[in-house]
Amino acid sequence: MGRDSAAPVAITEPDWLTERRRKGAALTSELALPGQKQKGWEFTDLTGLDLDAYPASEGRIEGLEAGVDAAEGPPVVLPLREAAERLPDVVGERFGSLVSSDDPFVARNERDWRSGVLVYVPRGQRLDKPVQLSIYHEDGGTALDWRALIVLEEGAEAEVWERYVSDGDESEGLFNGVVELSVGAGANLRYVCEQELSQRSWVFATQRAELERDASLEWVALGFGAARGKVRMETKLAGPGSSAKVTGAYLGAGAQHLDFDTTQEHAAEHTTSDLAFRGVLSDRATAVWRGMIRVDPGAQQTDAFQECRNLLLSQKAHADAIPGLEIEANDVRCTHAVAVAQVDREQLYYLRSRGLPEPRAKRLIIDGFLQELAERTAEGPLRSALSSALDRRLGELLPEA
Amino acid sequence: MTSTSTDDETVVAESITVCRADELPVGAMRLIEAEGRKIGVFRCGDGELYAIEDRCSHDDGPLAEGEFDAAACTVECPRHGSLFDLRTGRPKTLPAFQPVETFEARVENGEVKLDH
Amino acid sequence: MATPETKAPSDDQTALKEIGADYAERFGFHDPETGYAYKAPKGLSEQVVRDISGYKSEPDWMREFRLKALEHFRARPTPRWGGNLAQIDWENIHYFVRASEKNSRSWDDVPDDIKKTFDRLGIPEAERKFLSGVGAQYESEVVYHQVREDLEKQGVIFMDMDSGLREHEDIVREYWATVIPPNDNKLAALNSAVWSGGSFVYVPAGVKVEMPLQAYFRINTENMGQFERTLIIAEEGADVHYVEGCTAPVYSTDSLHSAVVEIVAKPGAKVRYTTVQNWSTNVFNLVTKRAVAQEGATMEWIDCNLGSKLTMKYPSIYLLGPEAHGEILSIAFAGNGQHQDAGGKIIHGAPKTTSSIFAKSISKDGGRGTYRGLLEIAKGATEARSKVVCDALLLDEESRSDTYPTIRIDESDANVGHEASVSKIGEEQLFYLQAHGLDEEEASKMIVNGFIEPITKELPMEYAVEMNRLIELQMEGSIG
Repeated sequence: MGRDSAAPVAITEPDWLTERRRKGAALTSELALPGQKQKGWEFTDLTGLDLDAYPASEGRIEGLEAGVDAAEGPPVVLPLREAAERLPDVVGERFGSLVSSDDPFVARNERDWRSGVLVYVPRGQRLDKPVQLSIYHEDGGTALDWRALIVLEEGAEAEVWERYVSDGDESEGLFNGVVELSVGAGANLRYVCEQELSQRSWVFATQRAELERDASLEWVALGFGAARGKVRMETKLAGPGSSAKVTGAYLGAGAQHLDFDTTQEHAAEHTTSDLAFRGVLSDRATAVWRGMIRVDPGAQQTDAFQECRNLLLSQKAHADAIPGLEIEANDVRCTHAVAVAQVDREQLYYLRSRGLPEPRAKRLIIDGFLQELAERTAEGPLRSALSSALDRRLGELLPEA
Repeated sequence: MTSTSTDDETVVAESITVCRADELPVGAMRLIEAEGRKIGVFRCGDGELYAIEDRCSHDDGPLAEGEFDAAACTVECPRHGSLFDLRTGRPKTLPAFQPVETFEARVENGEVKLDH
Repeated sequence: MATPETKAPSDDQTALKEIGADYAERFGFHDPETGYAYKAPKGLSEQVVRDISGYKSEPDWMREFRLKALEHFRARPTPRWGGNLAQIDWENIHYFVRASEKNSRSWDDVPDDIKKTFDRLGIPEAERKFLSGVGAQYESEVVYHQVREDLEKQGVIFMDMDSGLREHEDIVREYWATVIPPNDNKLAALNSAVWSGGSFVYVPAGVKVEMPLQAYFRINTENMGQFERTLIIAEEGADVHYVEGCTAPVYSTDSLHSAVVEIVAKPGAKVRYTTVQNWSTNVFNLVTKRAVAQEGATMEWIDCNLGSKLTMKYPSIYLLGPEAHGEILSIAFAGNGQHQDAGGKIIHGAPKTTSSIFAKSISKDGGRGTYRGLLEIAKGATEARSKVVCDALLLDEESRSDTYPTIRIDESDANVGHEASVSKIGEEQLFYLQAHGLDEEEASKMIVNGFIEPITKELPMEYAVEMNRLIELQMEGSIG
């Protein structure tokens, strides 16, 4: 059994962590996988999934060399198991504070996670360079339960990039990640999550952010790989004046099915959220985006926006978009927009009349469609990286261009 | 074994035995599974055999398992009540508006055979 | 919004007990000609359904239809989505009461708030009595007969559904339940079992009906009944506008209203169906309305929901022929204690079809406005274009707005846009109007009227005028 035969553990776990694993194990055996009649899962068929068929594995993490310790010093970037032992107060207090284990995927993660990261930025501190992690799912036929805990205290600043990658295109496995983003008062976090698993992998990610007073979050999500699964991205604006900008892009080909479930919850006054997702689908790929904007009573002066636009490149490609609003405060501005279209014929005609062959013209138009997303981030390394990633992935969808 | 030609391909239809002919009198229906899908075989009032996929084109309800009116040769989907003409596979009422797949069923040597 | 003080208190538990309580005196009815006496007990049973059918002397197929529908009704669970239907006590309702019995209500029973609204809207005396179920017949009977003669000359049939079944059985039978089968949903099953009244409209090919057909003027025994059933057939190239309801509040002691409306618009036909609903706030208004638009036909639903405690209604259009077009314009006003759960569904089922949905909702004093919609582009519906816009205004902190749109697209060349917004009255707009001499209340009223104008401008003039006045009254808070 993979679960118990991982590399010998040199680190001892604190009792509270062992207790959490035990609870996770109990819940895992109790909670059934969601069926298609369950709210939120109508468009994603999990019947081919047998969670137990994937023994747990550790994966290989790159980018964690910047390990620094000390609780009251400079920022900390440590493997999470190590951090649990060396910074028990921080980890003990924050682990599981944003994501509830009462879910089959989270419960399993609680039981099995081995690889994880703690990014901890104490009050007023700043991470000089972005933390760039690559999480490699190495062993085919196994599950990689990844756990990330990112904590920014008051006034802190950090940028964290995660890349979920499979070793090899044919690698078949299960990726099950849980990410908790805690952004303290006046703190500033930029979090990028790039999912580039093999097209035969399952992907499940439960990612949640909570922002305190005047905090800000820029969250970029890319969905390029995996066969099927669901990525849940929830943002709670818990403190007045907080704001979040969420940008997502998914490009599917073959028989991929990409599923993003986002929530923008406004629980305080004067909060802002801005979410934009764009998708491009070819072959028989399908995607579903579900997004909810929830404004709690009293969350006056909320300004919330959500948009999802899809381009379908082939007959069999399919997109479902389910935006939603549940608004209980009135002094607000909440808007959402959804669009599904094919490549604009007029634009295509214009470019072709200028001598561009059709595949090239198409590529240019779709490129423009995606680059508008990149422009949501400020100029700099992130925007360039985003641009390149989108460009590269689009090239995979349109090889003739 | 029967075969049909479509353009360049020659598609060979497979047939399976559903039941004995006397086990399917007028007004009866038999559900059979073939290559992962369920198909209902009916004997209508005209004495003929008709077969349709057990999946309503509206919302995937178990169409063939609904109320069967042998005289009218129709079946009503139990999920939202759409009435389907077994002869053509076409819906006669909403909420379904797209036809369901029909199959050939016949009697051969005292047995009901289904081509799928 | 009007909260009748005497008969239907806003407290749910008491309201529950009140349902059917004042039917005690009409426990039976008599047909003066035959002396046939029938006790119509509360609750639903095979016997009640048979008696309804027998009383109306219906053909066998209709009786069998009702009985089968009853079975479906019993088998289906009460929906758990939408509004709160758990409160409905199915067994504590009288499912059939002859209308002449209803008119034994006295003017004293009518709640004060409703009377006040009548005053403010300037509703004529006789009309007030009719709307409150106090008067026997609305005095526009003369007008109605003249209208009928003109229509008959064109070959247009416009009568109540009971008469339609009796006098035009063939046509009715051909289309009956083809758009909404009895097992479509629980409330459609209920209506199919106990329906009574409603309209039957048939417009022959190429005929354009100049004046809107108003259900209001359709004199019959079951006007504004609980379980109306309407069937509208527009032959090729026909053109008709049908209007039901009115802006003035309608006081009903029937707490459950569940209507079914089926419409077939044949190639090139144009049908517009306008509803202005203002039931008293003790009413659960659960309606199934659906239309089919064939090749080149146009179907328009204009749906205004002002009253009731809970309305669940999603007018639908199936665009089944190439180049068919569908439009849904919807206004919902949710005041204190009200939940308007409305919207629309459009299914594109053929190539080159177009559609649009415009929904506006206003919530005030803790009211809850919900938009629930479906936009579907089915396989084969190539070159489809659709636009959905839903806007909501929340007038205060206590109110609530939800938007639950679903978009399902199975063709890659579809062009679909959906936008929704929720906000309060804009500060800048208010400021601008106040700077022009209007006080805040007047300015707010003007803005709200402007907000709903794209929809009210499609209403027949007298409705539009009344609608504006009614909304203004709501804004004043002088009602309820």
